[in-house]
Amino acid sequence: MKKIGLVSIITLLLTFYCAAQSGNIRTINGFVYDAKTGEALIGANVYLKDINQGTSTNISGYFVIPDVLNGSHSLTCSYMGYKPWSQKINVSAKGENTIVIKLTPQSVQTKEVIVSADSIRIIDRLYERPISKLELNSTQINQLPRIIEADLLRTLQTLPGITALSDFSSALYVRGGTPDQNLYMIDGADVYNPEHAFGIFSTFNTYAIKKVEISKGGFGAEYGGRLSSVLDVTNIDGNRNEFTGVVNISLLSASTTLQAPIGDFGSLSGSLRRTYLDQTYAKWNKNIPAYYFYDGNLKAFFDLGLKDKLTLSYFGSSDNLDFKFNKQKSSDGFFYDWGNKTASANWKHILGNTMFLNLSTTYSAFESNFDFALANVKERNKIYDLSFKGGVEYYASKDFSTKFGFEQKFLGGMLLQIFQQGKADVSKQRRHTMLYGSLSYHPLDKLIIDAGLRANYFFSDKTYVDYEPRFSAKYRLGETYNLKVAAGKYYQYLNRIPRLFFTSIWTAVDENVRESSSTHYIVGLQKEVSEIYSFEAELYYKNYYNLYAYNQLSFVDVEPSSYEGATPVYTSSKGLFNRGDGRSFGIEMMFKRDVGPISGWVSYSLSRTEYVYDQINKGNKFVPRQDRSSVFNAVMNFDWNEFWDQFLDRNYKERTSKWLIGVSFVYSTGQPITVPASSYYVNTLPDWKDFNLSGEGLPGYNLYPSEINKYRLPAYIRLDLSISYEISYSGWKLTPYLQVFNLGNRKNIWFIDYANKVENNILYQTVEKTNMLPLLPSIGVTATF
Amino acid sequence: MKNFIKVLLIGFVSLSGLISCGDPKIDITSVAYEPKIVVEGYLFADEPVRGIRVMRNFALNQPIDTLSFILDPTITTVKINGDSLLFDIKTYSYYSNNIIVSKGSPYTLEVWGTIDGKELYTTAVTTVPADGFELIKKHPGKFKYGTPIPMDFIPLSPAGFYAFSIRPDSASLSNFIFDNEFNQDMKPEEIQKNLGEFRLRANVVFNIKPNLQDTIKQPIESYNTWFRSTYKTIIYAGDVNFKEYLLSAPNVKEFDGNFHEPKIILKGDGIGVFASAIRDTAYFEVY
Repeated sequence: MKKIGLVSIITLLLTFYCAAQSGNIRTINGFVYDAKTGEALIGANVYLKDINQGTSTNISGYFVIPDVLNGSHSLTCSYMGYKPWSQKINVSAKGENTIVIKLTPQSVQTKEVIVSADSIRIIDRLYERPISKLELNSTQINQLPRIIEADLLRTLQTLPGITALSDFSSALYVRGGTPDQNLYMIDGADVYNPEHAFGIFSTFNTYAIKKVEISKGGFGAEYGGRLSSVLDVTNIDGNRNEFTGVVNISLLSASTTLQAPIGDFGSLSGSLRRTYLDQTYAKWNKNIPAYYFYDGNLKAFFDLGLKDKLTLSYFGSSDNLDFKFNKQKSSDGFFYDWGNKTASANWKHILGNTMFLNLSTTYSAFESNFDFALANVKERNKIYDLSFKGGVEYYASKDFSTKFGFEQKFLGGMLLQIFQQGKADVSKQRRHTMLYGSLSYHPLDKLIIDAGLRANYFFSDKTYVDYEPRFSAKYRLGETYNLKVAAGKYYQYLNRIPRLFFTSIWTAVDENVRESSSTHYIVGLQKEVSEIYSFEAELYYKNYYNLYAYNQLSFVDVEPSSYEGATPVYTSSKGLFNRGDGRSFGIEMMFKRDVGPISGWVSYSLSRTEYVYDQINKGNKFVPRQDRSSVFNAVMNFDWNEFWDQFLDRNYKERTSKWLIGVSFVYSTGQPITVPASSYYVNTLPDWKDFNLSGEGLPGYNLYPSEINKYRLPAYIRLDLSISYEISYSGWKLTPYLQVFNLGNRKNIWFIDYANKVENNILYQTVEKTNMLPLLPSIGVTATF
Repeated sequence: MKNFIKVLLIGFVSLSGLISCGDPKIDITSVAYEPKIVVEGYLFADEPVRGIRVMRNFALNQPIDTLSFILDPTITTVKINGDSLLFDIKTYSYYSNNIIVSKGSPYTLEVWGTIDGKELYTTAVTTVPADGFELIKKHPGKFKYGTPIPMDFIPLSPAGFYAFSIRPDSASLSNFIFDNEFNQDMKPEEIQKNLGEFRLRANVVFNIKPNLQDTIKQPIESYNTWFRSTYKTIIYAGDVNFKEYLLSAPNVKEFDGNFHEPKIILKGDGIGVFASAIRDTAYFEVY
C-alpha cells in the first residue's frame, strides 16, 4: 500500500514537470540583488502583473515562476527600502528565461514612489508571507531606541506576541512560551545561549544582519525541534562591488562591520564588537568588576556561476568576568567566562529551472567555565551539535510545488560541577534524524493550501519516534483582505535549566524526561488599509504536553548516581525537573506602515497562559511569570525633515544632513508574582535559638508563600527616545546619536522585598520594592563608508 | 486625513509621555492570611525532649509583639508518641522528662492549638538517624584569619546529611575583622545592622554515604569567620526532615523576588520543622 502511494506521488510529480516544459508554457527563474552591494535579497516580491502570478525570493534571492505562457509580460519586483523595478520581458521556448534583477536602494520612499505602477500592493506582499511570520531588516533594528546598544532581541520584544520578563533580560517569550522553546539560527546554525552580560544583551551584532525572520507559530515542516518560534537570522554576504564599512562607538562598546569583494566572483564580510568598561571605568573605579564581552563573525560568499553559490560563515562570542573581592589583592575572587561558536558551509545549486537544492553543514557550540577557588567550586558546561542538512524546493507548476529534505544532527553535552557537597559529572551524546516534506497546492486563484509532515527520530537512552503534521491555508478574501489559517504539531527534545546570572544548562530527553509537544491553531486576517498602511489580526491557541520546568528544590530531591569514596556524584536528571502541561491563547493586532517619513507599527495583544504542574501550586492551575494579559506597543521612526516637509506640503528635497527620531512605547499588564501569605519565626538551626530578637534582618524570619503567581505587579510602562543626526559627506556618513531609555523615568517594579526589624520586642515588617532601570541616556556615533 | 494624523500623533506622544512617568505603589493586603501552627522542634539522640516551640504565623501588614509568637499554652496541647509535653515558662517551649530520644527510633508529634478562634491541628514524624559521625579533631586549634580551619569527620549517618553551625563566642564591632578578604569598605553602622548575618553562619553537606574508611574534609573558610574570637561549631547529623527544612524553607524567595514552595514537613495546619539529629561540637580560635 505504501509502495503504491509513493509511486503515485512520483508519477504526479513527473506529470506536472513534463506539462510544465511542454507547449506554450515556460518557467521564469532568476535572482534579485541589491544593485549597489550585490547582496541577494531575501523575500523580495516578484510578480507578473498582467497574469497576476508571482512569488517571493528564497534565502539565496532566487525565485521561480512556473507555467508562464510564451509571449510578452510585465515583470515587477519590489522590496522594502528599494525603488520598485519593472521591465517588459519576452518569454519564449528558445530564449533564456533566467532573469537577474538589480534593485536600487531608495533611502526615502515617498508616497508617490510607493503607489506607482511598478510597486506591488501591500495585500499581495502580505499574501506571500506565511502566517505568524514577521520580518525585520538591519535598518529597522538600528533605528529603534535602545539600552546603550542596538539589540535584535530587544527590538523583537516590541512586536505583538513577544514579551520580555524584565529590563534586565533580552530573552524572548513568544505567545506564552519560554525562551528555550525558540529556535535561534545564524546562517542556518543553531545558537544555544545567545546572551551577553547575564542576559541584558543578545549576541547578535545588528550591523552584520541582512535579514531577520521570526515565525511566532504555525511554522512549516522545514523547521522543528522547538515548540514556540523560529528566529532565523541571515548575516550579510558582503559587498561585491566595493569596500564599505560601518564603525560604531557607544558608551559600552566599539564595533565595526567591513565588507569587500573577492575579485569578481565573491565577497567577504566581517564584524567585530567589544566592550571596554574593563579598560576604562573599571581601571579607576574599584566597584566595577573587570568584565567584557566581544563577538564577531566572518562570512565569505562565492558565486560559482549562475547555478551554484557557496557560503562559508563563522560566528563567535565570548563573555569574561574576572571578579576580585579586593582589587588590590590579586588572588581572591572568581572567574567566569562563556561563549558561542557557530560555523556553517552552505552550497546552493539550481537543478533545472524548477528545482533548487540547498545543502549545508553546521557546527554550533556553547561553553562556559566558572572557577571560585576560595569556595572550592568549579563548573564547566558545554553543549554542541554537528548537523548535516539538505533541502529541495521543486516548483512543478503554478498550482503545485513541493519542499522536502532532511537533517541529521549529532548532539553532545557535558556538565562538570565540583562543589563542597559533591560533584555533578554528566557527558552524553545524542542523535536526531529529521525528514520533512510539504506540498503547496493552488487549487483556486485565491486559495493556496500547504500540507506537510516532519518525522523525528531522536536517539537517547531510548528512541523517540514522532511525527509532526503541519497545515496552512491562505485565501484572498477580497480585494483588500487575506484570510489565513494554520495548525501544526511540534516536538522538542531539549530542555533548558535557566539560572540567574549563570548561563543556562541544556539537557536532552532521557529515561526521566520525555519529549515535550505542542499543537498550534492559528487564524489570521490581513487588510490593506491604504497604499501604505496594513492591518493584521491573529487569533491563536496552543497547548503544551510534558513541559519541564527546573525544580527549584532539585538539590533537595536529586539523588547521587554513584560515590567517589563518600562524596556523591550526580549524573542523572531524576529530580531536576517538574513536569506539567499548559496552554496559551490570545489575539494580536498590528497596524503598520513600512515606508515614508514615518514608519513603524502600533500593536495590541490580549492573551493568557496557564500551566498545571505536578509539584507546583499543589497541582492547581496557575499562570506563569511570562503571562501578560494586555500588551500595547507603539514604535515610530521619523525622518524628521521629510516629515515636516510633507506636513507643510513642501516639495521633497535632497539633504546632506537630516534628523532621525525614534520613539518606542510599551504598556503591559504587570508580571504575576507569588507573594507571601504570612510570615513566621523559626531559627535556621537549633542552636540559634538563644540569639536575641532585635535588630534588622532576623535570621529566623521566614516567609510562607501563598498561591503561586496570584498577585500582579502594577503595569509596566516605558517610553524610549532616539535622536540621530545623519550627516552625509562625499563617500561617507557620520551619525551621532542620543538614546534615552525610560524617558519618563517611571519606576517600574522588578520585584518586592520584605524587610523586618525588631525594636523593643515589636516586629516591624515592611514591604519594599526594587525597581527596574531608571531613565538611562546614552550617546554614541556611527560612521558609514 | 493629514489633520487627523497630526492630532493622533500629538495626542499619542502627549499621552504616552504622561503615563510613562510615575512611581506605582504596591498593596499586598489583598493576599489572604491563613493562620497556621508554627513548630520549631528538634530531638537529639541520647537527650531528653526539650525546647519544642509552638508558635503562630502572622500577616505581613502589621507590627507584631514578639511575645505573641508563642501560642497560649493553656489552650495548646502537644504530644510526642502520645505523651503530653509540659510547658516551660522560662524558655517558652515544651519538654518531657519521660522521653529520652533514642537513635534509630521514630517519634510522632501532634499539636492542637487555637489561633484567632480557629481550632487547628498538625502532626509530623521524625526518625532519629541510627548513627551520626566521628569528628577527627574536636579542638583543631588556633588559626590566623584566612587560614582554612580543618573540620574533618567520618560520616556514619544513613541519612547522609550534615549541617554546621559556626558561631563566635564574642561578636561585636570591637572584634569584627574589618580587613577581611571580601570588602574592606564596610561601615560600622552597616555591620551593626547586619550583625546577626555575620555572627550566625551555616554550612551543609548532603547525600554523603556513610563510610568508616573515608574522611570528609569540610574546612571552615574565611567567609564564615568574621570575628577574631573563639568559636563553637556544632555539627548535626540530621534526618530527612532536618535536611528538607534547612534546604528549602529559609530559601523560598528567589533572588528576583519570586517564590517557590518549601518542602512540607508538617501535615494539616502546620508549618515549620520537626526533625531529629545526632550532634557534637568542635572548638577553635581565629586571631
